Amino acid sequence: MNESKQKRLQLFFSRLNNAKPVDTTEKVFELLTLILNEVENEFTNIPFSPALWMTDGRMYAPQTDSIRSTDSENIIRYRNRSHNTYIGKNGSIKIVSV
Amino acid sequence: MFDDFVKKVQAKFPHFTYEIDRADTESGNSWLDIFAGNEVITVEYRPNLGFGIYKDKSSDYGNGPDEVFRNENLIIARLEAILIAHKTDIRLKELQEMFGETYESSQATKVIPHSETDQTSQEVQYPLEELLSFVKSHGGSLEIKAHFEECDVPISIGPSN
Repeated sequence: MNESKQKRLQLFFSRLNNAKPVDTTEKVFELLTLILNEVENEFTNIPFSPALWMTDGRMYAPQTDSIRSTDSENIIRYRNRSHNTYIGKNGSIKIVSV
Repeated sequence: MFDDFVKKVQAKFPHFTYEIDRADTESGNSWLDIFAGNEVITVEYRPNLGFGIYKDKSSDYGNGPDEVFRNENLIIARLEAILIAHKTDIRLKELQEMFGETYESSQATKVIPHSETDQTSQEVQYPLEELLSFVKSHGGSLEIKAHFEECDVPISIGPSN
């Protein structure tokens, strides 16, 4: 049985919050992807099919084509439906509602 | 392509406000947030995949769109249905309207007299509403999605809103 997206999202944020800090942009991206996939694998039966991301109902980590530059060369931005995810070169992460 | 689309949307719905988030690269995705009173409809454009409509504010982090369109005219018609007629769900009637058919004419051609169906098929034919009711009564949910060459859209079968 699939958990609701709201519940899965709460689990994602909770696990992200409790994760061990990382120190590079690449590691943040890996961490986001790892945790989101863990939650989706544990709490849904929707297979991991990135090609179907638009229609399968599974949550996927930000895609590389969502990257945007920001005013700071140390920070990049990923745009989602209702969030911007800011990732710093120092491994920091901030998710802001649009 | 995205800029042309935005211009058409803004021209068709001049009374709404918009936020545009263009891609940094040619292959990147671009976003159009449409603010219509208390309602926010977001459209994502991906050059290789088409347009996605996000209707549900709660459809959150990492979610894909609720509806996908690969035809600009079709998505503008759909936006009109959502924003002007407030038809957020797609039932048969809305689906037919999207494809330029009238509900009545289609109804007339789709009715199959009971006498024409054989006993075996009658045993497994029941209204989708009944199926929905059964699934809901057992704590489940039922989703139907229609896939066309030009769009992928969820179909509602419960009571209209």
